[in-house]
Amino acid sequence: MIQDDIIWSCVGENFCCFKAKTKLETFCRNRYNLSGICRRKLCPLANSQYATVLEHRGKCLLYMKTIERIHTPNKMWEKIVLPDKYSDALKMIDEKLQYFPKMTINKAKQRLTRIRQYLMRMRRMKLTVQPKLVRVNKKVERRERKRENRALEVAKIEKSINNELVDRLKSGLYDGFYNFDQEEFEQMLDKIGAKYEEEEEEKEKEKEKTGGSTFVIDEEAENEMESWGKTPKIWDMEDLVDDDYEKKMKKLKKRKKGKPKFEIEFEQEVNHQQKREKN
Amino acid sequence: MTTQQLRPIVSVFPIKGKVKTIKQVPLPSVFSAPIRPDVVRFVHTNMAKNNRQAHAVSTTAGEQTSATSWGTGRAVARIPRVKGSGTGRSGQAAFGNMCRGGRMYAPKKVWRKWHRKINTNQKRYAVCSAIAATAVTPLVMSRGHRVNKLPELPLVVSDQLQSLTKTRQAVKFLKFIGAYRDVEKVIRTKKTRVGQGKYRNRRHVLRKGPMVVYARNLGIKKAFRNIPGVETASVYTLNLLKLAPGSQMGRFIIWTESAFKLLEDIYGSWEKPSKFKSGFYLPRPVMVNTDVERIIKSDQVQTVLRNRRPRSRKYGKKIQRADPYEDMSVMVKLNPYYKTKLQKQKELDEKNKKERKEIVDKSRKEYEDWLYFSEEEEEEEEEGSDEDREIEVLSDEN
Repeated sequence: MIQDDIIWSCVGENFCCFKAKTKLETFCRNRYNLSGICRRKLCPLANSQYATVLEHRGKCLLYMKTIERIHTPNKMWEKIVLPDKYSDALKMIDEKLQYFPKMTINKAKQRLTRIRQYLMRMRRMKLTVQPKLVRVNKKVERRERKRENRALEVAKIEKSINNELVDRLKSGLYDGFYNFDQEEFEQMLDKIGAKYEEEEEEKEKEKEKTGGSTFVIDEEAENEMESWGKTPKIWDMEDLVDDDYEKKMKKLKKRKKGKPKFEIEFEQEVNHQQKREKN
Repeated sequence: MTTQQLRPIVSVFPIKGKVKTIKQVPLPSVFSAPIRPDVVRFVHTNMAKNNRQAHAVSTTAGEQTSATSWGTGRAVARIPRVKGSGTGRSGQAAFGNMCRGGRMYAPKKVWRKWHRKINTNQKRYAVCSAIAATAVTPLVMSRGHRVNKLPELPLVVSDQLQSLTKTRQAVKFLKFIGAYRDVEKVIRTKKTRVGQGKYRNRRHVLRKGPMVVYARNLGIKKAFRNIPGVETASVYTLNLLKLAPGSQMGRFIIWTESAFKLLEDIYGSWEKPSKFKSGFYLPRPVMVNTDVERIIKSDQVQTVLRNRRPRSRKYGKKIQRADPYEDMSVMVKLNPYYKTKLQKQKELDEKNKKERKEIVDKSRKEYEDWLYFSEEEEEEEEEGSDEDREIEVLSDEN
């Protein structure tokens, strides 16, 4: 008691290694401080009779310090394990800190409550999956995005898909899927070859009519027009065939805004097997 | 004499084996000397000036020109200017502390008072305070020493420590006694100095570790010499600058048994003077019992005090009052007439309402009658004028 005032005059007003000063508040970084604030009644150094509640591996412990043990630092703090039940723990605090100042008892209980709350929260958090926070490196992100776009362009996915589909078509994979004759299909192909020339002529005629302006229909517009039951202006009645496939082929022929033109290219098929047989 | 003597006996520990008391020694009186941070600060700040080396600025610095002022009338400041021509320096200002290349204000001189005289008694007072503070665990902790694992403070160890010759032995001892944590702290926090001292042969900065105080050097000095942070000192020459580094009391000291015993002789007590410092007695405290709170609360004082005066409400706690307009019972307490007032108002309102209703009904009925009559009249007399009809209606009514 006599020493406490002296200690406070050395520690509180002057230097203390646990003191952390900020503009508004002075904090105490001492492990045993009840509330973390540097104050005369809360300083674990300047109070020879002191008590705290600390947590170790999920267990709350009551630490008590008395003036008789100050000179033996390794035995200074008496540790008492508090019971798991909250009400029992409070009762134990009341019992053990009977002759301690009221403020110490109240603060100890408050600290116990707070510790228990965060322990509960920790337990709850362990059961859920916690999101791992990963840094976003702006440079890396930017770089990767650009590379992705570049790769996309280079890959020319649509084109390769087109080629694949055409190959499959030619190979005869879809032979059984469409409901029309092989002959008819081949005829169609021939027709398309012819019609392409016809269409070019038509286009020239149109140009004369409209005065050079080309009429381009969007897919949506076409659909709408079909739903109304009107027939598109460009097509002559002569060219309209009952076959749906013909229409589709024609549609594909018409160049749409921004979309790649679909062309069926035919190459001379090299029969590798025959070659091998020959050799 | 003082009530500050809490425990008169101190345990002595061995340097190896088990950490157990091998002997008990009485606590020297020095440890009950008054702890005065103000005295220690004063003495320390002055003592620290005593190991300074003189430094000064060259006497001729900034004066090695024959500059003269151009005087007035030249549209320039009147500061002395360098004579001559043909160089950039000519015409430039010289001599003043504000001038570039001029002499500084009050050039430093070698004959500055570098050292300070301190009264011997004051010096001794400070040392006694500092030694006393080394036995106070909270003060040693507040300085930053890691003393949690020590068996006792003040830490007294057998004289065998003085005969240690090898650093390895010394380190082993420190680990055994629980003092090595402080040394670890020093090792961990060794850093390059901030500032220009680093290239002025003051490259590294170290914390202060434990200090080992011995009576006779039988090898102990060399044994502890190379351990970072650890200092050794003889009991006879305890330095305040080491006992309270930075004028902060509470250095962690490890005493050897004989050194500890010698303290009684070196610093004496209040009854017996010191054997080594002639005529020196331990300083007496101004207050024997410094616990003012306890004194005030003691029975002897409380019985003499008069009764406490009742507190004035004016500066008391703010009283929370219920809102009378929310709670009727509170309003009635404050103003009992309020209830009757409300009742009266209610009655008045009802009365007014009634009257108003009558008037409205009456006029409505009149209007309906007029309508009804006018309709009948229309059927009968179609050619009559409006005005005549009105008059007729009114006369009927009357």
